[in-house]
Amino acid sequence: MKHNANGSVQSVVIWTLVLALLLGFAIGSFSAASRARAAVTAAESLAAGIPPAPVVTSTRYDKANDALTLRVLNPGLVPVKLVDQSIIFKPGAASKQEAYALTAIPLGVEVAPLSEVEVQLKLKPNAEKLEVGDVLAASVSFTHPYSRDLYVLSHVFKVNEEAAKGKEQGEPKQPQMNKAKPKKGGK
Amino acid sequence: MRFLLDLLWVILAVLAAWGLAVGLLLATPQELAVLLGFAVFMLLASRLLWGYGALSVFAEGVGRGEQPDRGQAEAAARVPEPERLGFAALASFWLAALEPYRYAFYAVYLVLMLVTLASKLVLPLPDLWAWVTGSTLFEGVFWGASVVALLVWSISSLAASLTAKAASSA
Repeated sequence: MKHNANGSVQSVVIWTLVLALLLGFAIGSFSAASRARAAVTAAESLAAGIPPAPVVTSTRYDKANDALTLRVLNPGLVPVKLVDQSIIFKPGAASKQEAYALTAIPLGVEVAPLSEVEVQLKLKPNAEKLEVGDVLAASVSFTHPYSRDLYVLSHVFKVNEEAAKGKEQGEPKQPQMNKAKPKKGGK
Repeated sequence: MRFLLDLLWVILAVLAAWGLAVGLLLATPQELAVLLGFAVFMLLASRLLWGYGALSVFAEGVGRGEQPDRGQAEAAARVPEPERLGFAALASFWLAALEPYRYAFYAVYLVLMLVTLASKLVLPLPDLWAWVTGSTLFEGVFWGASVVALLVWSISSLAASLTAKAASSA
């Protein structure tokens, strides 16, 4: 490296100012990026400490398979394991089916963080099709990694005209998370 | 009046200490790495910064036709009989005497730059964000050292141009 002896004092000052501006920009970006990264890490570790609880976002009567399909959302940052399910059937006025209860049917579905799965709850085999006015009370027991306890999620499904045809019954209010937007047209 | 001035100084010192303490507490590890690189390379470059600074003052005086104090220049120039040299020649020998230190500084800086660039060659695929934002501590040390490298380049260029001016005016 040789000294540029021909460079005037003014050119040295100007080049120093230009390089100092660029260097300041670089170091400022580096510092800001490290701060943004620290903030994201802090938010992630904070959110990962909140125990999750699955949420039923919509229910559908699957006429062909004689099953009740629940869409279950896990809004937390740790996985939830759905252990088993129970269904209590209460007939309405139009139904010829007697009341029944199915309990502790193993499920074994894991819901990943921030994702939604469909869970099929089989109705009683050879039972009558659902009629308007019937009520199904479904409960799903689940565990999460922060405790050895068993938690229970209960969902009541009242069969109205649309539900009896197999239309999806959404819950009225939903968290806006990483979900596909609902398709237009269907109501 | 003097008492008020002293009080002002104390307040200023307390505020500065407070600001420094809070800044260090809130700093990210990357920012501390920048500070570390800056401090260590300032130590490495202190001989250059003081040397080129004194040489610049000396050569500027010579270039203006003055006769500045030769004591420091004769001690620093490292020639057998410096008192027999003219002012401009003395400045040139002083500039040459600082050359090995400048070379050593740039060598260490280039090694650091190579280490930083080499650490950037491996893409941490599961976490690309860390690579983009440069969360590595090596990069922080490099940026801190870059500030000192700019100071060294700037003041050495200044001293060289002032020495050349002094030689042409002589």
